[in-house]
Amino acid sequence: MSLKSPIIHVRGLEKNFRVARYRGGALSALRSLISREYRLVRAVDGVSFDIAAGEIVGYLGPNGAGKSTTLKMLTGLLVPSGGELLVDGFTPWRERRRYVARIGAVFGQRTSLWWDLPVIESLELLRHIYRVPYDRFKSNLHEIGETLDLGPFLDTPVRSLSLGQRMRADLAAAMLHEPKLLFLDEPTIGLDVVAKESIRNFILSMNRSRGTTVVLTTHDLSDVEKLCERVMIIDHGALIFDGRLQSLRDRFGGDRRLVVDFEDEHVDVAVEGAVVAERDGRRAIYSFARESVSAAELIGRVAARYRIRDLEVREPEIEATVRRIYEERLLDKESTGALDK
Amino acid sequence: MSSAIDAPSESAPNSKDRGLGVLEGLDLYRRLIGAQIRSLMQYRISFAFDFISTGLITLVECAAVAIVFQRFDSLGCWSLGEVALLYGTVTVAFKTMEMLFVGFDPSGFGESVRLGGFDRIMLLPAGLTLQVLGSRFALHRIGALYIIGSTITFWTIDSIEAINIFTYGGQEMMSVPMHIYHPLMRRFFTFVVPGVFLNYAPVVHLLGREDQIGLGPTAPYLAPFVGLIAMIGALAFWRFGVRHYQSTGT
Repeated sequence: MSLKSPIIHVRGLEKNFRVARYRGGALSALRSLISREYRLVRAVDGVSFDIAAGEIVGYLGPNGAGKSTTLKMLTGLLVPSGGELLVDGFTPWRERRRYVARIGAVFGQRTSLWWDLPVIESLELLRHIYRVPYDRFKSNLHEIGETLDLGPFLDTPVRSLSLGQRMRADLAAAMLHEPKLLFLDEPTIGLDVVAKESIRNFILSMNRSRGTTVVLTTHDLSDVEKLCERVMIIDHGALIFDGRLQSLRDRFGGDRRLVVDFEDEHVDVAVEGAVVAERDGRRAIYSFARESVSAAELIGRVAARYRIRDLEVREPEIEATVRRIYEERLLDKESTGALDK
Repeated sequence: MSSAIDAPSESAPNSKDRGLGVLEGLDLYRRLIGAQIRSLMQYRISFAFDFISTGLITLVECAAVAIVFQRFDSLGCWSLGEVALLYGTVTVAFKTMEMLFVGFDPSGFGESVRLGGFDRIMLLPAGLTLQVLGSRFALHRIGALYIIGSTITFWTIDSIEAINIFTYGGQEMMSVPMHIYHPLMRRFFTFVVPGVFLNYAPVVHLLGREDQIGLGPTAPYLAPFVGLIAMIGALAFWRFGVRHYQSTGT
């Protein structure tokens, strides 16, 4: 991936934590007060990537893989142990105030709003903290409020909001100062389908209308399917995949399925290049590998032999794909592509 | 590889872009405190109870001192009225500090660090000290010590109760004439936690009393300077703690 002027530039990024080692027993608890043994945990272990302005990138990985640590370094909350990190020309942790004025960040379960105040008052306070001119604030609030449908709860104290409403309010708070970059940690966690949809639409609309660059971590792969052209997968602190969602599917998607409803009953429906995975009355489900036969070819072969009433090609579920990648460790570090050269 | 990593710092290289000027800082502080007061007012009854109970506690403490004086006519040769002045000055000073600095109250601040509240503050483009000061406001009820206590939270996560010995304990200690204490104790409150300058020294001077513990003639006027030095020290320690937080995440 050669990018002309990446807005995020990361090379060999590392973050190590010293974690106190615990041994059992009351005596050792006492001893640990005097001398502790530490274990070095490499939470992020040599991660490199570039992100171009205007991209929406999904950052995936199992729990404890290093996602949040990376995000905390990108937002300046944590200082890296090594490597290079440049975001929009800033070293995030070194120029905290100037840097955070240019980014928006929403960290999952936590709110950045004042718990006991109506939403609008929090937004007003943030306007002063970010020093957004009043008319900019007003027109932004109008536009963002419309997209997120904030109207019904602008005057409600944050503590009384539902989780979905609160997340919408938090997203509004993160975008009112027109940041170039938006970092989202699990933006849809715990939300119902309608709220998820509203949040995804908002992210897309900000990306399209303002060119906001978005980096988001998620466990919900439908977020990724709706939002992200590009996916990065981190596991055990190392980037194991960085590329387009489609190529992730192509490489690790496993077998596709062809569901066929026949006009007549058949005992044997076998065709070359596919395996009959399931039979149910007049329905057969074929499983086939994308490398050995195309869907069109296979349909041709089936149609040449039997009369078909209906058919459907099923792509492997992205969720299952990613789970397979974590579990079977299908990728190793070398396969992440051009950036590591 | 690590050459790319320098010591983190709060200040931006270009001071013009440094962020809020003093006036803007005060304005933001005023707004943050306003928000806290409006939040408090959402819980009127709880606020009323806090207000009344704080008043009662002060009253009872006063009464306790008075009762002691029923049995002994004086405390270290000081009369009830004189000790009451001592008590009054230290209480007003402490309650005022508590009100303004409660954002740095170690127990509350520790909670905030645990729940990621401090991350939230770090993500906003305003000074950290200002934001912590504006994060809570105790309308119903010691600055430098609070800051030190909160900073220790960065290492321990669980705030240490020990600091309360110096804050609340110090307040109790300083409610009675300092010269009745053991010299070791006096030295502690002169040099380590310099509380004597807060009320004892000025009150001795005000009452025209003899300087019994040898503080010297300038001592009554030192309070603002000692306070300033303690505050500067505490803030330096606070910044050091913030850096530690940035590198460990705890």
